[in-house]
Amino acid sequence: MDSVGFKAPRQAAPQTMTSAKIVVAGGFGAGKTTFVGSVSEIVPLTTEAMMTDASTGIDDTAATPNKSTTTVAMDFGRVSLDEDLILYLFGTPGQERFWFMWDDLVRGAIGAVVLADTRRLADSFAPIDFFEDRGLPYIVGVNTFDGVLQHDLGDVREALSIDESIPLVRCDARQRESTKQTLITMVEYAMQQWLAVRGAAAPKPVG
Amino acid sequence: MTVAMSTDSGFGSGNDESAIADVLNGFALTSGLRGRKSGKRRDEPDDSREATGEHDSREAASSAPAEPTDVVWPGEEDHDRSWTGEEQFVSAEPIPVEPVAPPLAAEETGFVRPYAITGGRTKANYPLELETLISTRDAAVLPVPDQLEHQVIMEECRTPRSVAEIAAVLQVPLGVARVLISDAADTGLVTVHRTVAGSENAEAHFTLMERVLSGLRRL
Repeated sequence: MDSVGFKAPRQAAPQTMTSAKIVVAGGFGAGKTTFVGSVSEIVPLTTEAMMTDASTGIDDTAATPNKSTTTVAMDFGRVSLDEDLILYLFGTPGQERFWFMWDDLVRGAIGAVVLADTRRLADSFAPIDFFEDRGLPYIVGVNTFDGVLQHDLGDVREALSIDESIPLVRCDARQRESTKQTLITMVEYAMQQWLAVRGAAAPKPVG
Repeated sequence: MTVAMSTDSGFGSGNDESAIADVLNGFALTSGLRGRKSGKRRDEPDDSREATGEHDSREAASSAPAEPTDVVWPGEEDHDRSWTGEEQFVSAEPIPVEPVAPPLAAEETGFVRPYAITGGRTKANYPLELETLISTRDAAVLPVPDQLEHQVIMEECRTPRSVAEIAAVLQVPLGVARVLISDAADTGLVTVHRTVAGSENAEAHFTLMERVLSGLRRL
């Protein structure tokens, strides 16, 4: 009976594990990997995806058939929040031409933290546009390099032209406590958003 | 037949690297196609492609001096030719026969398509998000996986690991990792945990956010 090995009890898994995902976006050098690394229990890992994995039907690769091996790398970290709950933080690939990867990233995510570097604010426009377009809750963290906030947060909000309701916080990506606080703000905001949307639009199911 | 000939010529030229490359190509070809009929069939279009390629380059070379400008920059001409050569290489990629030049042949044999490990399959049978957790099944008797990648997955997932982590450890692109994990799950080697956020259950998503929030506060 060769199949004995395959007929092992179905309830083999000790417990059901749950995972959640938060996206960390921002331009090149905005501190995404530092942010992820300051709270992650593992050294941020890098995973790759190929253009052909996710871009089918999105990117027109017909003109460049030899581009099939274009890879995009993204860094991510892991935070165990409970015995059966693991949070993953995914840094977005910096280059805008790798948008195809972002669909994988935002699907099912709790929300996103957009790290803004006030010296290069324009780098934050593209991720903000993307999350607004997808309806993914996001907050903006102004990375204060060397602990110095160069600009007034109100000015930053105006420059980014984001709604008053979207949290804009200062954070030091190198500090675990600061990163943690930024993540807490993000999840709180995502929950508020969820309640606002559900409360207004969809009638709650029984219970 | 042609394969054998190219191998001979490879040895004849005394270039070791190209010879090895030719031999490898020869193996790949002969294992892929049995019988010389199909071998011939493969060679013919290749020859014709090469012929047109040469024609193109000749055309390019001859048309360049015939342009109104009398001055032909030698560098430009060279560039043209090398570009044509590259085009040839690219189009001949799926059928590596008769390498044009030794360096090209070496490049050709060094290139392995990422989905080769999955036998060319790109679809997974499970909804595998980046954060979806995988754990090795705790069954008393597990079949020993034939594929090295599956052994690595089983080893790695003794404590639950996400799809992204597995891809990083295996050093393969995500799409490849998804197929490998899907296969391992089909064989009963690993369990795919449900991804709450990925499902459309909004209530569960809210509960998850609550749990994440309190978890972060405890950190």
